[in-house]
Amino acid sequence: MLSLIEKIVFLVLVAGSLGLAWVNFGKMFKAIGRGSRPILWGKAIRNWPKGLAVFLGQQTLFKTRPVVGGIHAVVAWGFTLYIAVNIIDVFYGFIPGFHFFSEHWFGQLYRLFVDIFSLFVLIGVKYFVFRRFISKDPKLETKEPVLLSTSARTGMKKDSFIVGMFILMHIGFRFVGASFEIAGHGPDPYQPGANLMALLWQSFDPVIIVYAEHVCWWLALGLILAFIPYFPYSKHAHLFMGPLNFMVREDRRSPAVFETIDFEDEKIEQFGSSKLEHLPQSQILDAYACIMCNRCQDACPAYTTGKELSPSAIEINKRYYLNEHLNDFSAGKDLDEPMSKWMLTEEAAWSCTTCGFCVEVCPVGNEPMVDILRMRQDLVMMESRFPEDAMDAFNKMENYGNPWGLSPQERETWMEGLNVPLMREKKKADVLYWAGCAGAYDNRGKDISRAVSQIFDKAGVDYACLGNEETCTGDSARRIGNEYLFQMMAMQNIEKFEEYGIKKIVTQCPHCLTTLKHDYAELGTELDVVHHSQFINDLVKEGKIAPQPSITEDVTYHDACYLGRHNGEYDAPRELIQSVLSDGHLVEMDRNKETGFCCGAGGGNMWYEINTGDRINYERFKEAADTKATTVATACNFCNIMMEDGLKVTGHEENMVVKDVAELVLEGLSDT
Amino acid sequence: MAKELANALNGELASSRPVVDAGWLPSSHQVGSSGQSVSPNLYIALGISGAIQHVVGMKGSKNIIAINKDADAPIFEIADYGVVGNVLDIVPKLTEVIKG
Repeated sequence: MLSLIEKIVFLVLVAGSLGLAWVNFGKMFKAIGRGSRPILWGKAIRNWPKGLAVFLGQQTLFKTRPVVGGIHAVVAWGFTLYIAVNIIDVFYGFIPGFHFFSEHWFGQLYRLFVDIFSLFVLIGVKYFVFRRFISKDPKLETKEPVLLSTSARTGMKKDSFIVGMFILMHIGFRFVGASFEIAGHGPDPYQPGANLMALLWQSFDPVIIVYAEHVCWWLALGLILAFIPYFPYSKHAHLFMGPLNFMVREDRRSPAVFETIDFEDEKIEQFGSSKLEHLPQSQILDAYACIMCNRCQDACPAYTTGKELSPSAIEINKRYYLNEHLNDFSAGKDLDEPMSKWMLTEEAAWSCTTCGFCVEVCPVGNEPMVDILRMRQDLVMMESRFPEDAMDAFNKMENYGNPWGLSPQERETWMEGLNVPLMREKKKADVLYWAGCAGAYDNRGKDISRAVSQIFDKAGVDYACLGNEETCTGDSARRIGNEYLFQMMAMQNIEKFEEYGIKKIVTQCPHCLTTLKHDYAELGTELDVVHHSQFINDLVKEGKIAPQPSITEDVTYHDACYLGRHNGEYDAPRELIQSVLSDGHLVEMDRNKETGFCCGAGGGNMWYEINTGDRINYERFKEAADTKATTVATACNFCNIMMEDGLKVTGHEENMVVKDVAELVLEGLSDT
Repeated sequence: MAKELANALNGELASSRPVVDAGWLPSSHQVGSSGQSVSPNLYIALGISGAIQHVVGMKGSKNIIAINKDADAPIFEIADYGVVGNVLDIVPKLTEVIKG
């Protein structure tokens, strides 16, 4: 189809486009390579099925916004198909008389498929352009008081416009080109859409039709050549970087758990991350994978209650900062600007409850929560800048072994009137029952501890408690960023475990669970730790206890983030609730399981106040009350405290109760 | 009402978190684990249930008087003197007596 001159020009443009793309992608990967903790690129080969599942399966898009996800899938599949279409079109241009399986059924199917898919993609992209520029979906905006750089605010709109127009024109001109080909060579029953359009050109001079076909070919493929080097500057790079991000992401034991710091290593000059290059490479890659869809922002308990934090703003600011400084940063220059100035304000960093919702819903596998946790480490250990009340909690953990600063000799008060075996007397037991600080000091926590131990007694479990020998696991210290204090607390406990040869632990606190099971494993101590809901559920399944269905009204279950998203347990507490329901039902809140909404206490937020915006727990309690259930079941001491607070403030004291699943089970056992 | 009592005693007004959240007092008056710690000679807990987050901020007080309509409220465990009754009935009378 093409003339010799056209062919030469095309090949020169291809070489130019690929050359420029090589340079730009090179800068991008050099920028990623400046991160502190190397990406193991070899993993990409091993994890190719995951990348393919994300790329072709689109499986990560449907956790939230399923309709938009579906339209995206159509556009994405269309775009993937167009990789093949473009190559075939180049052959068509270069080889005279070339037709892809022209009269073979495969060629017919191909043409039919491309014809229909082109129309779908055009409709899909028009919807997205409409949603962003005309109906202005508020989900695509980031509200005050979140820090979002001005270059990001204007740049995102510009980028979206360019990408939208590119797809519309690329696919549009290809489609129009096909219609001109039909006008010149006669109708093709396998391209119904293009046939219809060809009717428009019926009266055109054949010479004009040939010219028009050439112009369309050049626009469709020329746009691709122009776009390839632009990828590293566009959020559209997500189409490679998203799947790649899944393939090379760090293997974490739990979403908020990462490597410990070796304080003996004198070579370490920086704890945590202050500047961009302090972040691990995988966290810099996140900025290139981000498509700025704000799914994480919709999910975030801090953002949705009006605080300074938006997880997507972290990635967007990071990306625009990289775009602006790409030459200098990729060349290794020190930019010397702390991330708190341009990426995430300090207050925003403290607003994070580490609930992990942002990581869970991200369709490209980003982990904004990890950036926050690493920034907190820098603020605490390098800068000593953190909420005053957190200092108080640190001191109390260090001096009293619990964040409330209560006497370490009062950890056994919940046992009064019960016959709770103690490790120091019993010396050996199958199971260590870990009540945790809240289970030992908080009044409602004590109720839960009493319920658990009574259930154990009824089931004949061989267990014991550490009692006054127990000390805080260090969860809050670690999430707030005080790694040093965390390790100190951990060592005290690990020594105790070794003293008694403890291997198996049951705890009612999902934060203790995560810390004992995953954070301690990072320190080299592997323990078999299960949550009380899991352990008690097993007791029911094994027939060791048989709770009587006694609850006659509806129950709703509030997922604890550190049991659900951080440990993947959604079923055990629900099964326990089911086991004690007689007439009532288990009714779910809108946000449940993987998309459960935080109570507001996690990530150390229990110990200091963020006074911007509304209270997260009130918001969550209202959602629970909307189910019309009369019991809100929890599986975490802190959720219990937060939800009871919500119950009192929202005026439901008369008609609702908050109870731990263990308390519900014990009620079912009270007659036996 | 609580302010009148505090004035009559020449004392200071403090509260737990829900009172601050409701906007009745500024957050600097919040007592508890995320707030101030106080240890006055006399602490009068009006309708305070005794949740641990609040108690850790005031347990150092030398004398604690608790008034709460719920006889099982945990605040009575740490109070030196306790009155079971409605704060709305008791406080105005108490203020009157002190003023008188």
